Amino acid sequence: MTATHLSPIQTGLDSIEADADPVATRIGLLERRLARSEKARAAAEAFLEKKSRVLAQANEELQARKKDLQADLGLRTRQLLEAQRVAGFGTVIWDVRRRRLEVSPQIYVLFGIDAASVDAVIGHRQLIRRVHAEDRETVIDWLYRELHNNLRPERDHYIEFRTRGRRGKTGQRWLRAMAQIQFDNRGRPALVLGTIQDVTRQTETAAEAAALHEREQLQLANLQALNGELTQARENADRANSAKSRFLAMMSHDIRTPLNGVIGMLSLMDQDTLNTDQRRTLALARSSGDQLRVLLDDIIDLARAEAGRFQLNPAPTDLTKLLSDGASFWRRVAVEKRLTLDTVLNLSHPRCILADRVRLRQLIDNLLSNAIKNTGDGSVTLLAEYRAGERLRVEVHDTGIGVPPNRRAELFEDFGQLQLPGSQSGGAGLGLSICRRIIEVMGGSIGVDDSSLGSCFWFEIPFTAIAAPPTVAAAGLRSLARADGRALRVLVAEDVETNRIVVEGHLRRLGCEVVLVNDGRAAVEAATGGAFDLVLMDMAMPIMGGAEATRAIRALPAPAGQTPIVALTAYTRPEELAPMMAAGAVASASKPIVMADLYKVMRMALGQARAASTMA
Amino acid sequence: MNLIDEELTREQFAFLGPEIVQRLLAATHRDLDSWGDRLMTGWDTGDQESIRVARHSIRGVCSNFGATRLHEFAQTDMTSAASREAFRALHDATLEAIRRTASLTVQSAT
Repeated sequence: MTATHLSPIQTGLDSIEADADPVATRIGLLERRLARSEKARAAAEAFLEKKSRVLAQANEELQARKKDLQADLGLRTRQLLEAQRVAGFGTVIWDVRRRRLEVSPQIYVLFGIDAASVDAVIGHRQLIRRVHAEDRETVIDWLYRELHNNLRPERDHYIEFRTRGRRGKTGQRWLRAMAQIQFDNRGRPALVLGTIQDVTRQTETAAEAAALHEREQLQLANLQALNGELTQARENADRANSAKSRFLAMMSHDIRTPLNGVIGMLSLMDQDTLNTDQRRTLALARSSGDQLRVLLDDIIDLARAEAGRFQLNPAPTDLTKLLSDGASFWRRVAVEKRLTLDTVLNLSHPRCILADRVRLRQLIDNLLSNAIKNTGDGSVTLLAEYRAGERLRVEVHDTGIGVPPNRRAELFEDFGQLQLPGSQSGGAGLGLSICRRIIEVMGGSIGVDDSSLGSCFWFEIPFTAIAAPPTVAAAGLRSLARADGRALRVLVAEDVETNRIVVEGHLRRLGCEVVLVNDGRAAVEAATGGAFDLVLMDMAMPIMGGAEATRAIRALPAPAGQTPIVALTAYTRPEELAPMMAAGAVASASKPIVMADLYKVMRMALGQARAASTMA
Repeated sequence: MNLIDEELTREQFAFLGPEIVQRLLAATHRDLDSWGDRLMTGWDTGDQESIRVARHSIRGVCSNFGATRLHEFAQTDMTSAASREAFRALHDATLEAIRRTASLTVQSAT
């Protein structure tokens, strides 16, 4: 039974007792109430005691935790201060409203202030006193103007300045101060949190770098000025040299012209009417004339090379023939000195290369002439062979006096002549220098080595192998004939009769039917109704030039207007040929006519015309 | 330097054959005479265009035989009687050299 169920019974009993003895009942009631109160108080005391124990335990734990946190904070503070010391920076907190400044210990170090001499609270004026006199105004300005008037929450504010040194510059530091502002609820500056860092090393390094840069700039300017002077001097020297070369070339040219006349006259003298002495004198005069002519040619070549006007004219060249011819010529000279001149030519394949025959022969003549001149007894040998990489090597060995290794470079310099015992002087010392320049233009190399008994002068040049020029039979007349097997009809417009006959002769040998005209107008008239397969058109003609005639033929209705036209010209430079090509010529053939070239050009032009016709 | 390139001329003549060579010799003679005269006339009258055309044509004729000397001489000033005389002499000598080479070529061919 629960207390709830018993309560009415207890109340009934109490009522009965109260009715029995009201005082006793009242006392009993009070006693019971007292007992209940005692019991409740004891329970409350027990509860309080228990709670006190719990609180005491919690307090102990909190105290321990506080102690740990304080220890940790102390450790971290020490670490922070140590880090500040090592990094050379300190912190500053400025309470704007209270105008109170708090600084970390490193600030004292940075500003060179003895911490012991400072009051408990340092003021910013104490710091400013330690700023270098020259920077102080700037710093004050920054403090008051920047921080007071231009505070912006998004900006970091910084300034760099120097502190005062202890003695002169000793101990002077470069500091960089940075500040960040915190604002109160009304947007007014409340706290300025700042760091000040020692940037002495960086600043000095930057200053040194700037000084170094300045010195370098100065040196550079000096060098540029010097370079300008040198360039000017060089240009002056080049101009003088160029003027000298032009003068030499002009004089040589002017001397060569009458000399040609003299040599020409000498060659006309009838030797049969002369006695022995006169013939000897004549031979001497001609020989001297020829020598002078060679010298003048060399000087003109040198001037040409210095002006960068050395140009090669590559053409199909039978090397064996060219070298054999050169050797044959010089063999006669060698025999007069009782020397032998042998050739060893391993040039069977390829037989033909593209080369400037005149310049190549000039090289051979120079080397053979020198070898014979400087060999008193014995022999001269001309060797030639192909080397890997499409290179031609030519060597001229002699049994002469040889050239000391330390003097060899001189040989290839302008006017370089070695005066060696037993060597023969003569000439201007230009031959090998010109050879070197020719070889350079050809993209090769030239030099001199020891030979078994004397010297070995050599050169190596790159070459392009080509098929041997076709003979008339090999050219295949049928391949140039029309599709129906009939002979090609070729119109030739050329004003110089000699050239007309030469071209006609070549074309007839190719089996062509040839019609010749003397000028451009006649060419247009002939082309109008002539049904030609090809036109060979000279450029420079009277009445109507080649370009104009080409345009006129192109304007004719087909098929006459579509006849392939080949420019026939002594001009070789692209800019000289341009008018003809622009007028409608499809190719060009150079004069003098070389059969292989003409054949090739005609075949190409005809092939193009056939292809165009097929496409149409 | 020779008056003509004998090798080139020989090859040319051998290729063209005797009939063409005969015509060629006559034409060369006529051309060199004719263009030489025009060159001199150009110098007499100071007509630079005539001089230029004559030089170009002489160069064209000479190139067929490698006659560099005559061609180069034609490029020089010919205001004096001596220079003209030298040109004439060179002209004749060159023609003679061409004829001689033609003769040798034909002889060797036959």
